Amino acid sequence: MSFEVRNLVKSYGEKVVVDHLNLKMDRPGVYALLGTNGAGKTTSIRMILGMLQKDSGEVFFNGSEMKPKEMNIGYLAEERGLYPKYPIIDQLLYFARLKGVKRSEAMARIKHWSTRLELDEYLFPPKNSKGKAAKPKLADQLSKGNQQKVQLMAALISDPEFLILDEPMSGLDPVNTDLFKEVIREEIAKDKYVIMSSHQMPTVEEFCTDITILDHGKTVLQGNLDEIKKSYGRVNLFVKCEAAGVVDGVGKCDAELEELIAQSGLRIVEKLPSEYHIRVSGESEAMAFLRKLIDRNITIIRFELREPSLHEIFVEKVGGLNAAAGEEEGADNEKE
Amino acid sequence: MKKSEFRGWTEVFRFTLAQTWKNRSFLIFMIIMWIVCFAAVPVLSAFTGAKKNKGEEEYNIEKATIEKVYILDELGYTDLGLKTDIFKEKSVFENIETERVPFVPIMSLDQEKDEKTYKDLCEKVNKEPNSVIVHVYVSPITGITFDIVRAIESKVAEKECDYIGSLLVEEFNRFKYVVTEMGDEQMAALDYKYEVVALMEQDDGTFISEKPHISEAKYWVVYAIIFVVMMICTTSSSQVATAVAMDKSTKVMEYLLTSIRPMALVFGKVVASVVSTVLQLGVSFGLALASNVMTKTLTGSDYLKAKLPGGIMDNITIPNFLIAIVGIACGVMFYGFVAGLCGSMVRKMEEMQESMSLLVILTLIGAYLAMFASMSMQKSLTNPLFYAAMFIPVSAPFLLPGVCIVGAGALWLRLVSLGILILLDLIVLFVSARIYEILIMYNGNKIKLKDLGKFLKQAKGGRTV
Repeated sequence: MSFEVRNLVKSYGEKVVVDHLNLKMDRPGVYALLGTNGAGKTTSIRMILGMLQKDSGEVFFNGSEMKPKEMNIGYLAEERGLYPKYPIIDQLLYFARLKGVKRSEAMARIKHWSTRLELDEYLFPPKNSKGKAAKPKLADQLSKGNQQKVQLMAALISDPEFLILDEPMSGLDPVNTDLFKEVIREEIAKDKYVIMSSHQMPTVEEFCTDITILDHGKTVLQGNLDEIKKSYGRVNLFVKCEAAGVVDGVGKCDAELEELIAQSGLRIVEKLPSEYHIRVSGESEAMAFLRKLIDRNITIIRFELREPSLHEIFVEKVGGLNAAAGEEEGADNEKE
Repeated sequence: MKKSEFRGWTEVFRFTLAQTWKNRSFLIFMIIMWIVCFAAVPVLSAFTGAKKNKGEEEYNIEKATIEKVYILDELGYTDLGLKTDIFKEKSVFENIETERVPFVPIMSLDQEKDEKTYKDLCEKVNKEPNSVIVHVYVSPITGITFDIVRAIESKVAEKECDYIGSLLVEEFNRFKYVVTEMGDEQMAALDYKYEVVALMEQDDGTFISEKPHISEAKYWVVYAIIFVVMMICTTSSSQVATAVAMDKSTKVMEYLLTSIRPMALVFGKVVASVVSTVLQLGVSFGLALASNVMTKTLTGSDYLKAKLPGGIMDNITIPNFLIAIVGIACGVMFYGFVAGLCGSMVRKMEEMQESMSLLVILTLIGAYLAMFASMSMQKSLTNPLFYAAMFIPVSAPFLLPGVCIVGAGALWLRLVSLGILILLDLIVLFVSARIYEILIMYNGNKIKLKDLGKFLKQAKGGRTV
C-alpha cells in the first residue's frame, strides 16, 4: 500500500497556489502538510480529494490513479460545516448513506461514536418525565466544540481507509483535545493513511512521521521528521542553575551565567525564569561550555542539549523566507 | 456526461425531500393549500347559491308593512301562468291584499304603449304609504323587468321590496322552464358557460374549427394556469438555489464533495423539488376534483362543469393531464438547474438575491411571452407568437399546461413542445454540470453574469480527476 502525489500544480490566473507538490507515503501513518495561512495546504487537499481541478500532476493510491469518489475517504475540513437547522442525527445518517453505509450499520456506528465522543445527550436525548422522547437536537443548538465532534464523527462514520484531517484540534478545550488525540491514535493503530494539516506544531510532532512545509505554494522542506531534526543537529542548549543570592538586583547565578555565555560567544535564544535557552553550533561547543560552568563551581540543575523543535524549524524555514521576501519587496518599493 | 457524475443523487434527493417535508412552515402552507382546495367547491357553491336560496329568515322580516300590492303586468305573463302574487305563499306576506290592474298588453311594435295607466297608479300609491306596485314590463336596456315601486313617503321597508323581487325572479325562472316544458337536467344545463365555434367538415368526415382560436373565458383559464405555473417554478427554483447556496455558505459542500460530484448534488435537489411540487399540485388538484364530486353527490350540481368554460372538464384526459404535468415538471427542472447555477455563484447567503438575477430575467421573459401568446390565442391558434411561445423553452413550461387543459392546438404541437423542453433540460443539465464543478468550490471575487461564459470556457477542458 502506498500514497503518492506527483507534481501537483494549481494556478488561479497568474498566481501559482500549488507549485509542483510531491509527497509520498510508503506505509500507513500520519503525514503532515504544514505551511502558513494561504500556503496552499487546503488547495492541495481539495485537489487530492478531487474537489478541485488540478492544472497538472497525478495522485496515486496503491500504485494506480486515485479516484476519491470511489474510495472510502474521511475528511475533516478546516472550515467546519453542518446544516444549522437540520437534526444532527439526520445529517450524520445522510453523510453515512452518501458513503454507502447501510442505514442500520450507520445507526450502530453513530451510536458507537456518540458514546465515544460523549455526544449521547445530544444525539440520543433521554426521554422526559412523561416518557416522551425529546426532540433531536439541531446543529445550531450545539457548542462549537461539540459541532467539531459531530464533524469528526462524520469523517469517521464510514470507517475510512484514508483520512484527511485539516486543523483537527483547532478551537478545542484541553479535555476535548485529549479526546480527539486518543481517537486519532486509535485510527493510526488501525494502519490507516492519514494526512494532517495543522498549525499546532506539538500536535504534529506527536503524530507525524513525515512532513512537507509549504510556503506560497512551494515546498520549502520535506522529509522524515526525525531525519530533518537530526540534520539540524543538537543546537539547542537549555541550562538552569541554582540561584545563590542576589547581586545588584540580579540573581548571582544568572549574572555569572550571562557573563560566561557572553565570554563563550554564544547567543541566548530565550531567557526563561532561572533558565536559558542557548544556541550552540554543536555538541563540542556545548561540552566546552559545560566545562566552563564546572570550573566556576556553578551548581547546575538542568543541562540539556537537543535538536530544534518543529516549531523552530517551521519559523526558520517559513518565517525566514517571508522576511527575506518582505525585505526584497521593500527594496523594490524603495527603488520604485 | 458520465453515469458516475450522478452517483449518490438518490441520497441527496431523499435527504432534501425528507427535510423539506419536515419543515414546519412548508407543512403548514401545504395543509392550508390542501384545505383550501378541498373546501373551495362546497364553499363557493354555497356562496354563489346563497342569493337564490335566501329566504324569509335571511331578510329578517318579522311583520310585513305592505298592506296592498297592485300588479301591473304589461306583458300579460300572468295570463300565461306566471304567479305575480307568488309572495303570498310566504307566511309573512300572506295577508297582503293584491289587485291586478287591467292593462292592454303590447302585441306588436307599432302599438302605442299605455303610459296613462302606470301614471295613474303611481299617483294612487303616493297617497297610500303601505302600498306597492309590481310593474312587469320589457325595456330595450334591461330586458324583461320586475320593478317594485313604492311612494316617496312610503312606510314599506326596502328589504320587503327586495324579498318580493327575489321571489318574483325565482318564479320567473320556473315559469320560463314550465313554458318550454324542460326537465331539471336541461334547466341546469342552461346555467353552463357556452361558446360558439364555427366548424368545417374535413375529407374524413370529421369537423375542425374554421378559424381556430380560444374564447375569452378559456383565455382567462390559460392566463390563470400561466400564473400558477410561474409561481410553482419560482418557488421551487428558489428552494433549489437556497439549498445549493446553503451547502456552499455553511461549508457542508466541502464534506459532501468527498462522496459525490456537484452534478449529483444539484440533480438530487432539483428532482426533490420537482417531486415535492408535483405531489403538492397533484394532491391539490385531486382534492379539488374529489371536493367537486362530493358536492355533486350532495347537491346534485356539478359546480366545476357549470363554472368552467365549456369543454374544459372533457379536455382533462389522461394524455392531456400527463403532458401538462410532465411539462410543469420539465419547467421546474429547467428553472431548478438555472437556480442551482445561481446558488453556486453565491459565496454567502447575503449575496443570494443578487445572484438570482439570471433566474429572474429568464422567468420574466418566459412568463410575459406566455401571457402575450395566450392573448394572441383569442384571435388565432396559428399565429407565430403562439408557436414561438410553445417552442421557446423559457415560455413553454408556462403555456403548455394551459394549452392542454383548454384543448387548444393540435396534439402534435403539444408533444413537440414537450420534446423540446425535455431536450433543453438535458442540454442545461450538461452545461450546468460543467460550470457547477468550478463554481461550487469558487470563493474568489463576486461572480457576475458575464463571468459565466468565462467559466464555461474553463470547464470545456473537462475534469482532470
